[in-house]
Amino acid sequence: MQIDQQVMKNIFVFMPRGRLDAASAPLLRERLAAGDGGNMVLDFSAVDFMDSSGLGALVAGARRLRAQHGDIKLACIADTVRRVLELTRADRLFDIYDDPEAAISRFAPEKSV
Amino acid sequence: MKERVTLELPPDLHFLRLAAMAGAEAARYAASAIGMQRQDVFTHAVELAVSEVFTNAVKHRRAATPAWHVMIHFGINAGDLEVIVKDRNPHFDLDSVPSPDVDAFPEDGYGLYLVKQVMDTVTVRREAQCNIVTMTKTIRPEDAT
Amino acid sequence: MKTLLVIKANTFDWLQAVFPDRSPLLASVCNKPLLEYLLDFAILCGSRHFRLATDMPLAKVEAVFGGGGRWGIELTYAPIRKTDDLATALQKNSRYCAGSRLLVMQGCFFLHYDKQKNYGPFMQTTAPGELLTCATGRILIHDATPLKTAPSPDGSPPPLALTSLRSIGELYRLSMRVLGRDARQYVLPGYNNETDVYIGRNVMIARSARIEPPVMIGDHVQIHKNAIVGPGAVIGRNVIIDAYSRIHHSVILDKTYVGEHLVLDRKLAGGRRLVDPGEETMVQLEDAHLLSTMRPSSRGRNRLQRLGHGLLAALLWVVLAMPYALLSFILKRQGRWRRSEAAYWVDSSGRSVRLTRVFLNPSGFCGRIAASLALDRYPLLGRVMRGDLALIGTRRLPATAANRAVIEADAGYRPGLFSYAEAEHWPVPEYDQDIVDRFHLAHQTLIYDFVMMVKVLLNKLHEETALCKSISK
Repeated sequence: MQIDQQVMKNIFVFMPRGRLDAASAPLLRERLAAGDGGNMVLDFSAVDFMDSSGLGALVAGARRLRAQHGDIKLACIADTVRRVLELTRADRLFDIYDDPEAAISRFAPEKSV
Repeated sequence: MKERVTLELPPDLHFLRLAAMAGAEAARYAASAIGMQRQDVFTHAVELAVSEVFTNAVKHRRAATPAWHVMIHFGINAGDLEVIVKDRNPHFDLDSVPSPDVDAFPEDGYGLYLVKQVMDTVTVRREAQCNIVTMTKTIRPEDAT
Repeated sequence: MKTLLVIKANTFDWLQAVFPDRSPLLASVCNKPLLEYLLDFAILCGSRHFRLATDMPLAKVEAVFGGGGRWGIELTYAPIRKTDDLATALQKNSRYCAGSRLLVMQGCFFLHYDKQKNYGPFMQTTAPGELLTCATGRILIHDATPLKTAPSPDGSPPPLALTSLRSIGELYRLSMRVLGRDARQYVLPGYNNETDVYIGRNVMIARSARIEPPVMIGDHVQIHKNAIVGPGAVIGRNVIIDAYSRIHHSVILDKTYVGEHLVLDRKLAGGRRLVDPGEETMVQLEDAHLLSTMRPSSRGRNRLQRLGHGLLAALLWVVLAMPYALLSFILKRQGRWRRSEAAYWVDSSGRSVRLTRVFLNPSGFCGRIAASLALDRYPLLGRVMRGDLALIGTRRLPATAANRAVIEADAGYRPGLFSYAEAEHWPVPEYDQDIVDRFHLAHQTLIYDFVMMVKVLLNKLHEETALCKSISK
């Protein structure tokens, strides 16, 4: 799996491409853990499948970021991904947008340290 | 039984996608055969279940054991799909696997919980040193044409 | 024009408090989900896109409504969080909301409209902002582009009103009002050949039973002898009204068994719960004779019954031995016979046994004969003789933890070689089968079982003929 990355308005925007399963979850975990806290938007428009391994990586990343006072928002999730989030009730954990720009604009302006 | 499809795959995550997509295709075939209208939920359920069970088979494999293959068998009947996954891992008891506490948002442990949610029946038995996970999903008449 | 419906779980607290097992998003008035009334209205407004944004689980709604194909619209779903307000919900759906006029419906309410009227022009020309409001919800129009505020063609807006939904009482009164007065304003489910009578599919009404309009009966309903249903009765799906009972000005929710000799007047009943909408009180009935089908089966598996079943099984074992030996041999060679084993619960004490399952391909001459003689069950006759299974009983449940919980919660589990539902040729979905099984278990005697066995075998014969006809099409 490939994960594209860009920075928009000081927010990391990751775009995983393909399937988020046990084969690709370690890569996602690694990329989510690489940041120094801060805010992230995960653009799921190129993700067509996610199972519990992918979900675990997502939850772990969110927990880590939030512990560092950052946050992670999701955008453009497919129905298949939505169903997994609902079945595990993990949809309560994330703000989910249908447009990555809307997710980015919801983050409060970054304070300079 | 109308159709049977069997795959034997090495217990390696490189074959996870193949296994899961085979599940999706078997489900798609079963759904089309009965003229099911909304196939996406049905096929996704099977794809997810196969992905989870195959992942478990790979994860729990002990490195030192001699090489074996994971057998995935699809039995496509008129009205339901049976999926059997067989591995040579140590015995595991379905009932003793705890359900995740979804309110605590754990990072792990959702696999079998998801399988039980999306498939109609899930059973595990032990036979000749193999774990045999049998899952079925019925195509409900109101979903057929 | 697009439609966005924003509903939060807390607006249905009043319903969840009384019926926690029922999905609030599928709450119905006159057997039609509230959601579907809103869908119909959106279509009347000319909207072909409908999105449901909610913090409630969507699986059951999606199972019923799917992608909206049945209505010729595109129906999509968006999860929101419990704490999200309308502005946040709109932002989370900004891509959906952009670029066209948006009809926003927020909250939990009933929308009164008339299917005969055209709401399109009105919706296109009315000023953006709040259109209607009530205690529990509102309707708004959003439009980013400036619009021309021309009056609607006939000068007066078409009829439109909101009713709050805050209690079971309000839901009940709404059902009575729609059934009794406003039915023609909506597309209601069921065959409506007679004024004020709506009957669903697969409804069995005993000859001596009486139906008095206005009445609405859902799919898969049984109304037994001398029962009187109506006036003012809304019967949901998968309901059994047992003999001599009377349902007047009442709502019976889906999947409910109403026992014999009961009178329900101005009530709402669902499962074991009985609500008095006037007093706003609720009673949960423990005696499943009255509501639901559960009761400790005092006419259970006594020794005489077991003996009777065992003897009949032995007779079948002898009579079918030759056909079994011959046909199973032939079918095995043809690859149309496969055995597997699985564990099943045999009683509520937690005892399970491994039972042989035979998968039989009923095609071909031999396959059809074998299927019509139910030879795939033959290997289990021994179990009946041994007393593990009844010859006919409730559906056999695989030995899983979930099923164990089901058995422990139920009072009537008597797994049979055949199930009563098979004798009735009842629809396949599990809950329907269970309700029929339990009903028959409640009424069973040895002779009754014998009669049901004959029915099963006749059904099998008929089934194979029908199946072959459909396969050969």
